[in-house]
Amino acid sequence: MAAYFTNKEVSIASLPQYEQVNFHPISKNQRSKALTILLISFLFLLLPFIIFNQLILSDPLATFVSVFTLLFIAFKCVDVILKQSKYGYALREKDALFRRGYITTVTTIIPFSRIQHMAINQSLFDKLYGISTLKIYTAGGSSSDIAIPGLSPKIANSLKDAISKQVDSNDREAI
Amino acid sequence: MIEKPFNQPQRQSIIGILLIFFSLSYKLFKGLWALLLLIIIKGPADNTLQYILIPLAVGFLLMIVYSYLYYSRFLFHVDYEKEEFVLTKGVFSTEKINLPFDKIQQVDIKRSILQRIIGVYSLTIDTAGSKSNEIQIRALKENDAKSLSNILTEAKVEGSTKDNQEGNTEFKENQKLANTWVYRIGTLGLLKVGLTKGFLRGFIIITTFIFSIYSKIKTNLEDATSLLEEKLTPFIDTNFHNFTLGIFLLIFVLLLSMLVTIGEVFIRYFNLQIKQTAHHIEVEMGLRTNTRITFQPRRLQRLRVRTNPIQQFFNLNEFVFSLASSENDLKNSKISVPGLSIEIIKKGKSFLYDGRLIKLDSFHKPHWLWFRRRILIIFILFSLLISSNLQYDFSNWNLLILISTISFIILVLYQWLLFQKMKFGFTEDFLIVKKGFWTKSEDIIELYKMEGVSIKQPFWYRKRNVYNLKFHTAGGDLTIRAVSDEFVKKINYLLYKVESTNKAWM
Repeated sequence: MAAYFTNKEVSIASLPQYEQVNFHPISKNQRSKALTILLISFLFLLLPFIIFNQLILSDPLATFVSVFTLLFIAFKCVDVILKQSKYGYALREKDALFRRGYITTVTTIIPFSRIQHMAINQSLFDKLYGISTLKIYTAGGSSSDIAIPGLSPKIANSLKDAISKQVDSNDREAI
Repeated sequence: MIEKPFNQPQRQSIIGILLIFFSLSYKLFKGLWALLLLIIIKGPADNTLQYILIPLAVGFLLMIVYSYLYYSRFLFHVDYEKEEFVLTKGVFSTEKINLPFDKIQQVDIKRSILQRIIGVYSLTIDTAGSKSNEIQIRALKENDAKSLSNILTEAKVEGSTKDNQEGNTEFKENQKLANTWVYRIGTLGLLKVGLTKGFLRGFIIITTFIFSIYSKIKTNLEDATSLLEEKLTPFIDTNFHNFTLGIFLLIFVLLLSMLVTIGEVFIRYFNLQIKQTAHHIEVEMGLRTNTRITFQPRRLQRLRVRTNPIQQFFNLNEFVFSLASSENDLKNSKISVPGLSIEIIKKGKSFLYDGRLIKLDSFHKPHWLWFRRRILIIFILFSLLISSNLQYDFSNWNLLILISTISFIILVLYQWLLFQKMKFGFTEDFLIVKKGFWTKSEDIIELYKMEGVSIKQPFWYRKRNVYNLKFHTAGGDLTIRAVSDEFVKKINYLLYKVESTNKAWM
């Protein structure tokens, strides 16, 4: 039936293990940036609302909403602090790995041969803290795309170059 | 040299002018309907003729001229030497599109109602890029549409087999040619599909019928009951009357919804035909818009086979093809073909996967946390439901509690069965996921077509080393929840399979 290919048995234990990869941490400035955004949204959006409500409106529903939002922001702060240590990226010969999230830790692995294109983004706050985000896009929907935040522009660029070199060499092999 | 079709620049069918004119008029009407309405409501004024009708007439005249020009300048041909499809179009500015064969993703033939009336087909050529890159020829005679579609799809295959490095292709080619088949589903087949589609509906219909028969028997018995019961009859009668009325209403609603499903099935799958040619699967179906999709096995990203016990009894199975898609039309890329016999399912699988064996020898099951999670969700939903009803003063609390306990137990049992039925695993070339207690489905993904994988671990899974997995393909994602790390280790095998191949995957 399928006589045209050889079929050696592959022992899973002998294959490279993704679990043993050492992840590189991202810049601590990512945490500072996220906290700054939270602080600003608290100071300029929630706080005026609370003051306005307490002094003028004093609507119980508005109070409930503001307490809820306050709790949410507090929760986000804790999340931002906890997940900093979970961020990590790694390149292997043939794929890129990216890990993130504390509540749910997600590790995404994308083989270089499946990468469509890449982009480096730098938002206003990113510029303030001297970091940037490397985005890696695949052909499928957006769910397999990854965005590695908290990279210094230099690292982001060199990562991008390294990956596109691998992508190119993969393409050449294919031809 | 033999004269090849479409090698000279040519126009679409002349009736295409009508189509262009209609779509222009439609656009005009969409822009001006408010104005027209105003005129109609206000009634014709003295200067209506002068200011409205004359410009309108001039506009129509211009539109006719434009339609003709558009038609006459819309030229296409196939350049066999350069291996590309060439299209020139545009009235005021001319646009020339050269589409190399190897950039063609898919060729579809469709028909809208208008096109059906005037007897033409539209042919769409999808390219690898975004939606704006696609080419549409809107008015082609049936023969032209079909032969052009065949030429382009075949040309595309030649282009891609050239850089196919696998040897022995000729042998395979011949084998494939010998095994072509066509399968059509007629009115009766569609009726069967429509009737067996929603299982819940069918189930409820059966139970209500049983209930109504039961109540009839009971009323007959009641006629013959003793005087003792006669004292109670007023009470029973009114209750009973309401009960039977309710049942009739229920049956009516169910039958109606069933009719709607059957109608839907007929509209979607009218004249359904699935065909395997030497290199392609061709699917043709639809009443409102006639769709024809042709794809190579290479483009298939994920395959699902679906059935339920009633459908199994009638030998009805469903294929769901997920094809490589651009981000914008994810929905379009899923094609479901119901009402297939098990032989066709087997033949289709063997064509799509080169006859390789798709069978799980050893499989994995989800961790029992999967079951616990489902139960927790159901429990929370029930508590919310009951607590939201607390404010009402129910006279029969016992009944409510009884009903909710029974339905809770049924749901838990159902989840348990689902949990038992779920299995998944890697074979040499495939990821296979089987699930479902009533609607049984089997998902198949060829390993080398994977675009990436996400390994997720919520913190409440950490202690037990349990993970959720999400497999990404160009035709959508597949999630498996609560898997043990024994299975997660096999991700390394998956990566090995993806990274050690350079076969084209979409």
